[in-house]
Amino acid sequence: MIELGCAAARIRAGLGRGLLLVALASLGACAAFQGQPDPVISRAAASDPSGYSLQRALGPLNMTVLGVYHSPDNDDRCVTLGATETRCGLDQEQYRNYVIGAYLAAANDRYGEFTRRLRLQSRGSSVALDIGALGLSTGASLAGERTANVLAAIAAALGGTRATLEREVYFDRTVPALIGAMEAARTRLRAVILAGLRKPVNEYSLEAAWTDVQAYEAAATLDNAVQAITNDAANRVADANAFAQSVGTYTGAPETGVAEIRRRMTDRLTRLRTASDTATLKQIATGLSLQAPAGADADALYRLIRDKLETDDTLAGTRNFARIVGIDPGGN
Amino acid sequence: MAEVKKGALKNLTVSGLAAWIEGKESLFGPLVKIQVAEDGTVGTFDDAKAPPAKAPTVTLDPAGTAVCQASQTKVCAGEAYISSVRQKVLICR
Repeated sequence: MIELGCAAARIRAGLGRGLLLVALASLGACAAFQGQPDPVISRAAASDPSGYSLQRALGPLNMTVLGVYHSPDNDDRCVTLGATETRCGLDQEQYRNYVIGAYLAAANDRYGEFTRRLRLQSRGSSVALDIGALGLSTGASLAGERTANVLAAIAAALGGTRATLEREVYFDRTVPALIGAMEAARTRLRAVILAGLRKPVNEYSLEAAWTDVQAYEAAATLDNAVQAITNDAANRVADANAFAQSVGTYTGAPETGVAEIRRRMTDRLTRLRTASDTATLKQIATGLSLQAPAGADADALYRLIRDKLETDDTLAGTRNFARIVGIDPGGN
Repeated sequence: MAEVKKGALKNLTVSGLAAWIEGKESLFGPLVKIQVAEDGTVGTFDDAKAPPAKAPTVTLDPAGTAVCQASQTKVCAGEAYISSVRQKVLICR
């Protein structure tokens, strides 16, 4: 019995260790998010002194590229990939478009890989944590007492980590919006670049194009996307507040007969405004217990009075306004 | 065009909304747009024009295919709260 008990304990401990390994391996899959695509030109490639390549030349817009760009058009020597300091017969515009086109293609490739990875990472993190937590909890139940305590402690800690990663789940849900924001920024910049590439070099030089393609590449970062979405949300709130302010209060329908009297009052007030009869308009405003601002013109007085007329939707109240405005209220 | 926005309560009936529009038009000029907001229906009025002499009519238009009667002209189509339910409407005069 004792031997059987020891064997069972050994098997249990073995299973616990196995599940722990699975759990830890799963947690290892919880890779951190990468906030932007790999750069088209890596720092190492840009500084690699061995041999000539377009990639290296494109690194910092160095003197080689600029020298080639500014070399004479009639210098059509063309030494293939080994080394060249001429434009191989291309004119400046063609060379500019060649360099920028190559960079754009590379940037698009990096961006495509970045967004693909972003989608995969966002889906993978939560699943990995689930597997990890499950493995640790189950391992704790199967392992010996001391190991079980350790595993249970890790699983408990993982519970806290889960709360953190649940925030990542929210992030997962925002990934499409973030990608959309990056796409929008890239599309705007791409349009600028493509429009520029149709211009002659004296209007859109390689240097100017280079600045734009760098902005194009930099637009594809999560930081910029979050910033754009935050700004957009803030603008929407501001628009909503402005809209709410412009509407003011929500009211019901006026009593029957009110609209007809109001039409006649509006007609009289409009005539007074057109005639710039501020004296009569002021008199009406005073009759309505309104305090006309000093120096108010006929239009300001008209609006002040009209807003007051809106405040009473009853027929009796409107008739009273009509008397003050100086029209027949009817109904007598 | 100077625009003025005004809000109508959500619980208005079809005839109540028509009366509300007429009441606002009599002060703020003809209705040009009707839409819904969080707190109710919002009408936009053309402040630069004189109030219309004729009252508007409101027709429920769930399919968006309704047309004004032959004697009427279309003012606008949009969405409004009718008895607290968001609905498509056609406004004619």
